Parts: sequence; C-alpha cells; structure tokens
Amino acid sequence: MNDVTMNDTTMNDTTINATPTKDPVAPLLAVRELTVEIGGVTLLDIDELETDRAEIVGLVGESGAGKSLLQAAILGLLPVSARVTGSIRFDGIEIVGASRRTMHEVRGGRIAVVLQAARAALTPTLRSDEWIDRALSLHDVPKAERAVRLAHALDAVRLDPRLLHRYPHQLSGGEAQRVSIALAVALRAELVLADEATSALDVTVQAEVAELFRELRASEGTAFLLVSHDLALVAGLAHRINIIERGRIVEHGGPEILEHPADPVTQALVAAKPALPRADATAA
Amino acid sequence: MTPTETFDARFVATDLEVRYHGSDPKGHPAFAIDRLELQPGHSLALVGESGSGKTTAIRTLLGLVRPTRGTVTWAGRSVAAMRGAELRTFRTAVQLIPQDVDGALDPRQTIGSAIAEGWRAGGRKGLRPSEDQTAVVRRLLDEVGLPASVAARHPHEVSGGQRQRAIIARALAVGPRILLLDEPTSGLDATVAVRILELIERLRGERGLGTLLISHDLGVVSRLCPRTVVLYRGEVVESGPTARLLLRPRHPYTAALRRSVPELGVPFRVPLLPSGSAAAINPMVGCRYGPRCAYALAGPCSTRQELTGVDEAATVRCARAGDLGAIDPLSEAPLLRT
Repeated sequence: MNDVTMNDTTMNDTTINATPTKDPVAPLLAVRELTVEIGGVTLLDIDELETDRAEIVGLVGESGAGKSLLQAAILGLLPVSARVTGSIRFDGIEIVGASRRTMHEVRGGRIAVVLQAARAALTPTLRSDEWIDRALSLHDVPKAERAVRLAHALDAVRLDPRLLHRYPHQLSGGEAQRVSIALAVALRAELVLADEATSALDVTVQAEVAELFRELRASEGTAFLLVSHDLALVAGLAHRINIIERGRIVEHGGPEILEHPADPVTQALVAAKPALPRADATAA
Repeated sequence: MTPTETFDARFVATDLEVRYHGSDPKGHPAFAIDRLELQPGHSLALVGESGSGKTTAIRTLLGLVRPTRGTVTWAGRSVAAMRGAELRTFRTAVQLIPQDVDGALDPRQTIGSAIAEGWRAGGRKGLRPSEDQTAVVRRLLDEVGLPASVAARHPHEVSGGQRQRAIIARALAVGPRILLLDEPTSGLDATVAVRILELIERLRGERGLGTLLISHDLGVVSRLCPRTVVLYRGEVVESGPTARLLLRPRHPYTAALRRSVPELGVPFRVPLLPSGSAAAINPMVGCRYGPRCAYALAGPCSTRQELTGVDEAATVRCARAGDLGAIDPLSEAPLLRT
C-alpha cells in the first residue's frame, strides 16, 4: 500500500496527479489574507491556506488556536457580529460575503463536514438510511438517483448495509462515523472538513477511519482538511501540514517539517507527543 | 509526606466477575479478572478500548458496582461489606480522578471551597502548626502547580488543564493512599497533557501514592506505569511489563493496539485485517477477539482459552501464543525467535 512516510514527498505528488483535476492550476480551496474580528479582537489572521483536489491537508493546533473558527469561516457560518476581510475561494466561488443561495449549494453538498461527536452528528430520531436520504433530498438529488448514490457510498466506506436500519444510539462510534462519511460520499462532496473526526474513537478504529480517508481520496478524489490536535495522526496522513496558533499559521509544509520544526509552537507539539518504546532504541 | 499508617492499604481483587443486571447471563461479563493487586507506591495500567471493561473495573474497585462473583478487598476487608466509619476511611484513602474534567467540579462552587470541603471530609489530614483552612488550600494548590488566586475562581473561569489540576488538588486534600485515574489527560491539549503526567509522576513519588491508570493511550501508559493489563471485551488478554508488551506483544490484539498508535516519523499503519478463518469464530464460545484477529484459526480459536503464564512476569490468553511467540508490533508478524 502507499504508506505516507515523512520523507516520502515524491510519492504524494504522483498520487495526487493520478486523480483528474477540473482546473489543474487553481486549488480547490484557497484562503487568502483572511482576517476575522469579533468584538474588536482579531481571532484569525491567515495569510494563505490551500487544499488541492484529492489532497489531504492537516490543520493542527491546540484549543483556542482558531481551528473551529477557520472551519466556520470556510462554511460561511461565522456569527453575524464577525467582521471578515480577505478571501476564501472554493472552486472559484468566493465564500466571504456569499449569498445564502450560494452557500446552500456549497455547504454540505460540495463541502461536507465530519465531526468529532459522531453519534451526535446524526439525527437521533432517524435511521441511518432515512438520514442520508433526507440529506440527499435537501440537496436536490432526484429520488431515483438517491438509491444508487447510497449503494455506492456504502460500498466506498465499507459499511454493512444492515447498519442502515439502525438509529444513532444503536451504532458504535466508529459505525456512526462511517455513516457520516457515507453521506459525504453520497453527496459527492469535493472537500471534507474532518474536525477531530477520529479523536473520540478507539485507537484501532481511528486507524481504520483514517485509512478510509486515504481510500476515498484515491477512489473518489475527495480532498480532506484534517483538523486535529493529534500531530502524529495528521503527519501520517497529510500531504501538507499547517500549524495554527493564536489565529495564525505559524508553520506549514510537508510532513517533513516536523523533523526539524522551526517554530516554537511546532517544537512544543512535537515534544509533547509521548514516545513509545522502540525496538531499535531498547534492544532488550 | 510518607505513609504513616501501619496497616496494609492494598487492593486485592480475586476471581472477580461483574455482570450487569439484565445482561445476557450466558453472555460476556462486563469485566472479569482472576487477580488484581495494587498497593501504595505501586502503579498499574488497565488498557483497552470501549467496552473492554475499564470503567466497570474502576467502579467495582470503588465498591460502586457489586461483583457478581469474587471479592474486592482493601486492607484485608471486603469493600462490599464496609459500612459507616470503615467505608468513610476507605473512601478517603482511595480517590478517583474522573475522566470528565468538566463535570467533576460543582459549577457553583469556587475551586478553593471545593478543595476545603474535600479536606474537611477527609478528616482535616496533614494540618501543620499555625495553618488554617485557607493556608491548607493554598498549600494544596501550590503542590499541584496552581497559583493561590485560583482558589477564588469557579471551574468555568479556569482552563481545562487548570481544572484537572484543581481536581487532583481536591483528591489530595482528602489524604488518599491510592489514586484511580480514569483517562486523566483525555480532552486536554498535548502540551497540557504532558504537564499533567509530570504532575502525577511527581505526586506519586513525593506522596508514595498507588496509582491505577485506566487509559487507551499507550503513550500515557508507557510513561506512567511499569506494568500493564490489556483488556478486551471484559477479559484480560495479556499482562506484563509495559515495555515488553509494547516491544514484543504476544497477543494479536496487543500488537494491533500498538500498531494503531500514530507516531511521528513512522509511516501510517492500519491493523492487519482478520484472517480467512476469523469469520467462522463465534466470540460467545471461542476467542472473543477471534472475529477481528489476523491470526485466527478455525480449530484452536473456536474454544475458550485460559490465561496462561508466559513467565513469572507475564500472562497471555491466546490459543496461538505457543506457535506465534512474540509478535513484531509494527508489522504484526511473528518475530523470529533466535
């Protein structure tokens, strides 16, 4: 399999190019000189953040760094009191100041969200199939096509069809997360904002869901903005990493930047990861 | 602050089995263990994923859940039989640091008042000459690395890391001999979590506390506990020195758990897929991990396995332990024996 290693950047380039790109030049998502000010305080000040089609980009930072606010900005869900300058372009569409109608087309359908609280993200009174069907219907997918899309999505996320007849409380965290991801696939989302999508899962299940992201990137050409505090997880999955602190991107680059982090914030994050005993370190 | 009591403040669980009322009597117990021992100054980790029985284990040790079979004793007395003053002594000697940092403190109470209440409830232990309650609170806050000003704050006015420190200070106020730590760093930022681990390590050394750590985070476990018990669906699948379990696990589940942990500088890995025979294994009568196991064999893994000793320090419950030997945690392939 195509393991992403920290040194292996050439492989990333070839696999990205293997997926057809609608516009080979423009990135799918481009955040430029974005500032968000709420109550007179500048909470985000992002010079540049990009995600190409079929690319996994990591956004790593601690609580309060601005990860959630940046996602809210990308989804056009900032509070009305927020003052925004700069630009967020998604496939050429300007999101800053976009109309409700534009956002209805983009949000959910083309930019999907997978949240940390997998079960809470589903509707408690709807079975998984009803939930996905309703969302497809809200995004104007014709009834005849919904079944086809659902079947494909189930296959893509390797979800047991029997689980579709369950309510959220009857699903495990990992199963609920697969249902969430299946919806993104069924909607043919081009970008998935994965907000700590695996951090509430057991570590073995986390690895399976992370592998699913990689598979969907390869099979569906989905791009992922992987938002997490887990540096090691992001480093293992992402082609590019952005370290965010106090609303600014303090360091960005390929996963290899973590070998010799330049910024003190990145250095602290690298140092905080508890090391596990290694065979080469302790030849016992 | 060395322990002064002369009695044996030790937890011993023997032949323990916990089933919840209403659960299938033929089904798996929520938690079962042949023997578990914990004493002040020592530490042990229970590792496993959701549903492995970690929380049930803690609740049973605390006497909040009555075991269906077996006993938990503390200082030689059955926890289930304790009443009155004896129960109060037990409850002060054993303190829980719960997983839910946000819900563990009363939102209407200042942190100083919560710590003072713990101190009074614990029988005003460790009062030094010329100290009043305010001074005790200040000293406890200082011990966990918080400024005295935190005493006047409410839980929502401090950060998550400070809240966890305050919870630890309140536990210390009671004068415990043993801390039960339930995922003490989950939900905290990585840089904050490291400081909490350092604090726990320091307190353990200074106060001679015994610690039982419940966690799914192998990084935290390897840092805090020299010995680990790995649980899967309520039963022990492997136990032994932590470093050995992580370097040369013998149970395929331990190996999968180790392999799944993301590490900087190590390529992303997924646990091996179940073997062709895995689907044929009924976890109700055979190996509980069988349906997920890369090494499952229809014959040997279809019947229940007992926990068997690897040597004096380690045990494993796996029908294939004999022929697999130690497993390379990174490739999950058996290590060649030399």
